[in-house]
Amino acid sequence: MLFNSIEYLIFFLPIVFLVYFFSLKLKHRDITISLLIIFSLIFYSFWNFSLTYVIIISIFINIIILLIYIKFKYKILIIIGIIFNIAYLAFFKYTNYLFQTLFELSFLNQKMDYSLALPLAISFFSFQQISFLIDFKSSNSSKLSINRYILHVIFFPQLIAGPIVKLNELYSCLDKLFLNNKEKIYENIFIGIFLISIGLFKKVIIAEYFEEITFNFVASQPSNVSSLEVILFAFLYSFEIYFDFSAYCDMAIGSARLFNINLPLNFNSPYKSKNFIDFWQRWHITLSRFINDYIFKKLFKIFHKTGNISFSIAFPVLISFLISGIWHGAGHNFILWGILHGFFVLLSHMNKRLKIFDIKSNFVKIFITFFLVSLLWIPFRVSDIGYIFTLYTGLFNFNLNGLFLNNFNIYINNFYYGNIFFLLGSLIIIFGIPNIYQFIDRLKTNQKSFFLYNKFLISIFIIFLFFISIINLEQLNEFIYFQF
Amino acid sequence: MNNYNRLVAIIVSVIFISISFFITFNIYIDPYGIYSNHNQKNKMIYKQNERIRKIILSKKLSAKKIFLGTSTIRDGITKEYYDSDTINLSFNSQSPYESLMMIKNINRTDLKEVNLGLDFFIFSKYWEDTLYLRGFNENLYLNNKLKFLKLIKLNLSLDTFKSSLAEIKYGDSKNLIDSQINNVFINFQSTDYETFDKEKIAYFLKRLNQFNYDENYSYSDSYSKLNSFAAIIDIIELCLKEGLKINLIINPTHNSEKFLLDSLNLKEKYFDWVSSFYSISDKYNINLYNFSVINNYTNIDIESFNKYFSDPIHFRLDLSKKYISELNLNNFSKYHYKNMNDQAFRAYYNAEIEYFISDLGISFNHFLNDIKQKKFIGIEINE
Repeated sequence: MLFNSIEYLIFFLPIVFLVYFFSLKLKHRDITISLLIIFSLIFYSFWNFSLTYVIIISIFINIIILLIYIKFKYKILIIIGIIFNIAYLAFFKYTNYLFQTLFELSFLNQKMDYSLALPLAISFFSFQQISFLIDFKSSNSSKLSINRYILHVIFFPQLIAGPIVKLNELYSCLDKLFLNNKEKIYENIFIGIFLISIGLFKKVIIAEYFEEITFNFVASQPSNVSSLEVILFAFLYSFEIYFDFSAYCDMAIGSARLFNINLPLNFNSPYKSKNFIDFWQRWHITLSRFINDYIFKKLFKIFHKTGNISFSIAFPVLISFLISGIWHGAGHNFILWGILHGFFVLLSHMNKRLKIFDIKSNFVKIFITFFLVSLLWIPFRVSDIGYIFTLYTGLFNFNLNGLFLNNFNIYINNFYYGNIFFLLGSLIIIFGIPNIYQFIDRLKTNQKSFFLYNKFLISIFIIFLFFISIINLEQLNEFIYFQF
Repeated sequence: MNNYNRLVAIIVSVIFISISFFITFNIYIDPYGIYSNHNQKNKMIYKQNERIRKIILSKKLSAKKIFLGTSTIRDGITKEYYDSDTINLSFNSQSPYESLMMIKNINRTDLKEVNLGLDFFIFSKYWEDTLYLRGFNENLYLNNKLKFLKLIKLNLSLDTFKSSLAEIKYGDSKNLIDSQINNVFINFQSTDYETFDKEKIAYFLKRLNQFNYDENYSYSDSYSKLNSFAAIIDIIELCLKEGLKINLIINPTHNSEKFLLDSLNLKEKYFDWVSSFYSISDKYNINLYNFSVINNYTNIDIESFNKYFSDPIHFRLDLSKKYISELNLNNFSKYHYKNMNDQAFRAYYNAEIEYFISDLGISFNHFLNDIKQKKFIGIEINE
């Protein structure tokens, strides 16, 4: 089920919330948790009922492994669990890609098609369960609540595209479902609706606007592109993915807030980053944390033994980002995207140590980082490696003779003041104002500002955003991160 | 009540009331005639939600004659030129599979004749991708009855609301058919009678550049593995089985478009495509109207272009008037080449290109060069 669908917004979410709300009156925690598990399964199966078994099998096997581990405390069981999750993910996501690559590299004589239907959210629930196995081992716990574990994996606000939560962020916090402080409960509901409305507006109105332009550009694949066009395309896609992913995060966190669950921050004004290291601490924060905690640090330990500091940083960084790229999708383009990001993160590390480019101005730092990040979105959006290089080559084509007009203007052919409104508005939202979570912090601490002068005005704002978004829901495009 | 409690109550209530009002208003006005049985032929022809609306129409109304096809037929064949027993069920980018589903879906009690408009462009892999990504799921409406959720979605849309407002504004006017036509063509004809504009030409050139004709392409739609030709053959067999008359119509396209096809090395593919329909027509002994061949209209000079075409593949009312009369006459005339064999068509086609070049007064090589350099024909001609 899409967050930006009538089914979710008008029916599913209100019904689940009401059922949850009244189940609390029963004062039987297992019933409430079980009901949320059932609703989360319905949410998941709405996408493709026939693939629901995939998540059920995965959870079941992980539970078996955890129960055996609790009994015998063999470390090898955790390793088996990790291998199982990786193999399970690889089987569904990468089998066809592997055979295709082997064929392209002439290791196979004939093309083999093993395309399997990609189960929704498999990358997320696999990583979440790996994270749980490792955290569970570290916690030395000897007790597993099965229904809490299932809800930890399948809780619908974070199921499809994260945030990738750790054991102590959901499993250990499920008691918050039974919060008793009425004032706090209503505050959470208010913030939840606020975040959902903001997220919905970002997706339906803003992200869809940019999607229209970038979609047409990629679909037409103009062969002779100029530098200005490539940069414009990169910027527009940057805006699109920014609003798309931040919208998803807002809606996920907002939905969870309705149930008094505080999901971790996953998106923190990433385009205000001053370098690539900063960027990855702000974009998809929970994935970066996973990669950092469970891959980079482990690799660093291994490579550190070589004694060479440069070597012990460079390889773990590159391998970590390569894995991040592969995690995002089965395609050469994602590998390229991951490696390029790894390379720029390394450069940032080097620059931090050696001060090769000592830029004082924050504005320049932010602009350079945004510019480079935008260019690196190209392999994320365009799957054809050949065309990616065409676009990168186009960066050096400074001939502006009509090409700009030809390839772009026909898609923005009804250029009107609304376009300027969208572009300027997006720039202000991205760079000019605090993000929504900073607003909420101010709201909670009752800091007065122009926008937060009156909570009643915010309520009108919420109603306006929600209503405008919901009547424009007709063209349903899924969130970009849903495909991972 | 604490502060947040009150605010949550206000927000939820206002959202609930607004949505309820919005849905109730649209259901009450019922611009697509979903709930009431009033005569849809007296309704506005809306471009919004046209897929859904026409699918609903096809279920509700019984017609003697229907037109199916893409926007070419939608925009070209209008109510002004056919009788009250005819419905135009074509819509934007209607694939042959969708046409098949429409025929299966329609109330066939009184149906006697099916006219199927054929477009070369719809036989493109590119089109499939576009359809898949751009709401091809609307096909679900064809496969399933309208479900509660879908009706809510339909009535909670801005487009439906706009249609409701338009219904209030024009719904009771006496001369409804005129207002329908004006409404449909408002986007096309309000800035009427310019010569080729560069955006349109750029758009078509781009479309042609990315065109990837594939006679065997299958649909992304998970409900069917049909390819385009298979879908058309299924349509024909279904019609013949049920005793319906079927006419295949290769839509008229301006010669500038064919010239571009030629310059982009798509000519042979176009011939193959047309030939296939000659073969199909022979095999099943059904009418094939190839309106795309050379005639006074498809070869109209640039100055008069906008009288008959809104762009090289979308013809206008004046041309449709001619074609409808040809269809009604149902016999051979110089404007369609029902029985023309493949060879003759190719000869005409080549002659047509030569004529077009001479008419423009530019050399073929010069033109081809411009195409390769992405200079647009429209701009060049205007200059």
